[in-house]
Amino acid sequence: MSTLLNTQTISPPMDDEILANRAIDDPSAFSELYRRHFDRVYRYHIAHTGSVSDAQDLTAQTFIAALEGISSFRGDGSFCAWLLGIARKKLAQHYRSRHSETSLEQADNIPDQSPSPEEMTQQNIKLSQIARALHLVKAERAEALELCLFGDLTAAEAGQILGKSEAAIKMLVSRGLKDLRQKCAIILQEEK
Amino acid sequence: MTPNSNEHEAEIIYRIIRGELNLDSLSSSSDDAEFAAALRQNVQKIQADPIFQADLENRLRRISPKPQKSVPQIFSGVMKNLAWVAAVIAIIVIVSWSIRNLLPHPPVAATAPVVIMMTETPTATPTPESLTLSSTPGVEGTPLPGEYSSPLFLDNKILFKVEFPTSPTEAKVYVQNFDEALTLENGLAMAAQLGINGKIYNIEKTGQQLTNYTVTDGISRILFYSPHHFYYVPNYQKVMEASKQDTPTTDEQISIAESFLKEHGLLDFPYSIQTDDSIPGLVKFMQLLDGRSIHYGSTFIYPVITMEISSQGEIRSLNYDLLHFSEIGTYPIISAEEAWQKSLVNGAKGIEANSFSLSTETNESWLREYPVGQRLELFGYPEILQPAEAGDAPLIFINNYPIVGNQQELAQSLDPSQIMQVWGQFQADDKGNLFFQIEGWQPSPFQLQSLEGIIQRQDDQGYLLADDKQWIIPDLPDSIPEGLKVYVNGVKLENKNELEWSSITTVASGGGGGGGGGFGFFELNLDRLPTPVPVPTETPYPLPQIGERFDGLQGNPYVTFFKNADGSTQMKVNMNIKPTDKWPGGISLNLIGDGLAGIEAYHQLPVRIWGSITSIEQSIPTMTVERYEPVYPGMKSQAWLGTLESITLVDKPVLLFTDQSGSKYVLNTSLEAEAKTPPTDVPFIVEGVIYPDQTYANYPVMHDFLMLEAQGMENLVDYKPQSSNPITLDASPTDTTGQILTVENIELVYYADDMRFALPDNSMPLSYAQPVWRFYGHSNNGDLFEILVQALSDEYLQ
Repeated sequence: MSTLLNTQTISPPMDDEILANRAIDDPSAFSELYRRHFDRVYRYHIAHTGSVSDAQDLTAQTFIAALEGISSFRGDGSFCAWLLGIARKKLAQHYRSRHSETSLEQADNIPDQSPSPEEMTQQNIKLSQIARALHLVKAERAEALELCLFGDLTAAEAGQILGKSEAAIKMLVSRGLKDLRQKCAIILQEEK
Repeated sequence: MTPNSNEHEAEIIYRIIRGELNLDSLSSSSDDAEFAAALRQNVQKIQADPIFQADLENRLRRISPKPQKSVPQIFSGVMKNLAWVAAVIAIIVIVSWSIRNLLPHPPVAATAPVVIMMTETPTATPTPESLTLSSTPGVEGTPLPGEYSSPLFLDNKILFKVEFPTSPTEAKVYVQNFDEALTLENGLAMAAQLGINGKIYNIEKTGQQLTNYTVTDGISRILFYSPHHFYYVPNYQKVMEASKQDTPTTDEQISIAESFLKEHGLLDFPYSIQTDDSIPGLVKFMQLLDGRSIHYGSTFIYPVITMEISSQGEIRSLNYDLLHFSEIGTYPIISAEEAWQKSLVNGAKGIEANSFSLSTETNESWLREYPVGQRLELFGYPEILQPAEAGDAPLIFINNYPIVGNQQELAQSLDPSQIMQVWGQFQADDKGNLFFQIEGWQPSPFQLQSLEGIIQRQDDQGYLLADDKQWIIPDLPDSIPEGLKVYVNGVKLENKNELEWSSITTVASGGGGGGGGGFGFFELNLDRLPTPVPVPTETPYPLPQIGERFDGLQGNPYVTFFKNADGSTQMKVNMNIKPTDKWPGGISLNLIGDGLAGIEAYHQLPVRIWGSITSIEQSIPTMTVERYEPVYPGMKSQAWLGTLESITLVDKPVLLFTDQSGSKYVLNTSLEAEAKTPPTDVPFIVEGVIYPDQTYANYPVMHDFLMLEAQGMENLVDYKPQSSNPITLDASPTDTTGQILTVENIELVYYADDMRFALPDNSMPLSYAQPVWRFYGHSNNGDLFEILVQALSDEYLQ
């Protein structure tokens, strides 16, 4: 057979949207949604916090809020975008004071000292360092990157959350990545 | 760089980030592309602690919601897959709602006894400031005659067991204040108040100006969010342990909890006590405001203190959230009866509803008992607590056991985001608390697992049967019975066929939960600035008459099978129908009758039916069908592989599907509702049917039932269409449709925003605690329900 059937994509046991509808009445449906999307929520939070305990705390808050609000899921967008929208709100509650202008200005004035990708991987950048670097990236770029890379959303889904077009999200992701590489370099330099 | 090249590069980076493009497939790659690929690779390796993951899932199961469908949710659900069909059925329920249901129906008798699931101790041993519940709740008297239908609890009837109270006519309004800032001093002072003689440590909050602290002596631990918002665990090593054996009685639990709180000066506010028979050991202390309980957000009344009492009668944990309010004035309120009438208006704001059923099954957890003085290995994520005060050493834990060694070296060497394998020996202090004398460590070669399986015992050896494989479980506690379904948390030692485990947790069967719906609350307008209060409008649909006959009515039956616990199934048939002159009755009807035999073969396909309307419930007509016939004999749902594009035809954005032969079709769902723009670079499978006599802008119309991305798929040889068969669902054991809800209590309570996790921020709008009327009771399946109605007079709402 020549088909390249990706069973994950082609034949999911049940669509998220159906599960979300059933989850209103059936706890096991929500459990299934939880298992499907746990990783993306956890990774999204750990990317932002760089802390296992914070990520756990926020992941729990996100799913509890999703559970409490499952009946408000309208089904006019993807479930994972809706879920990550909740995750984003939970982060916002915790991090209203992030992205201080001072740190951004300081960071932006440092010349590009980006190490090569090989250096980056060889130095095995820790999550906490990536999280720190993400805080130095301009907010909307960082958000687009976090949603697509850590939250594993498509540009359309991230656009749904951030109120932007797919093309705009792709551009933000690309620019966010460039910024992140630069800021990682600064952090590595500082920690040497 | 030109705009186009910018976009091209952005596309490449995006696709690498998404894992859709490999560097190998690029002729050349930039540093950014390589960085993106490395980043993507590292992100995919991030794995949470599976014990946390399993524990959270269990917690969610204990609170999982079973709300009434809220109108906004039902109204807007339109998708291009099976969910779309399910959503249409849901839409029907609401769209065809008419105002006639808002009026009381003739009285019917309550048929089922009320099951009391929660016990209240309204007059908890009063402190000098303790208040009993107000005289409003629990008004006994002649039950109100009549049976009501609420738009918040569709398909249910509501009866009253109590009368409407006539007072109060005014109530205080409060603003919620943030707690004082957490400092080293007040953190340590609260820890000392709880008897913890430990050091204070920072809880890392990257990028956040606010610092959180934990105080621990290595065994007990208190985690602060603010001085009056904390989580305390007397023995952190045992926090995962939970047994149902010999749990103290409810009175004993209350006594233990209350004594502890009083002894430590933590009950200096008005409160009432609540326990929950279905969750042994849980005691809740509810904060009262002006003698009334407080609701937070969409949840049932939230306690200020939740305590867990162990089967040995010890405190397992204490969650403390004392909230602070300032009174801002007294305002007139509407009566309970006026509030109830408001709640009956479909679409009215200022109303919330919740329902809640509790699981009858709670989890048990066992921790592994480790021998003292023997060399052994542990696997887990290290937890590193950095001291908040200069001169103190960091504290390191694995699996909640304190690690003893060169603390500074350990703190620098261990990575909290990486699973570690450590070896050494357990030692015990004079109270039997364990600590781990570490000898060495390395990154774990094994992943932590939360392996689900069945406990087996053979010749004094315990096993887990999981995935058709028998795993040895060393040191299996005697109290875990054979045949129990559990999660075993630990690592797999494949070469020994053994699980190196740290804890075992039962797999709860679920059930229970809570959730909410409603139309949202108004903002408060306490200055009485003139603002119009919107009046909900109704769009009643004309309904057919009972007994009215219809011949050859055309629609698409949607068949669902419900599987009962005993294995039997029930078929439910709804027909989706377009309102026409011939059919005035909304966009759906239920079909019953012997004339439906074999209709599952025409699931979603167009049929004509003959029959009469025999009942109308909640504005949904039911037709008893005499016979039916397919509109297009021989028509079957098919699957096509092709591509999608969003185009505008006749001034309307539609989805155009091109199959592998090049034939193009307009998708019907995109004609009926606005469609999302699909990706154009991936193939799609579309399932549906083509009506021979229907076109749009000269394209044939495909009635699509299901649409799936088919990345990498080249043909449909191995594909089995899914949409031609009806779905089978488990009949929900807690189905609320058709229930009788009995209002057993009407009380005035306070409603406040949930600020427990909010950071102090004076730029935020004021958060009020406002009076709301609460109508609550049980359904005849034992579930709790409540309806909340804003009580302030209309002029104070906006």
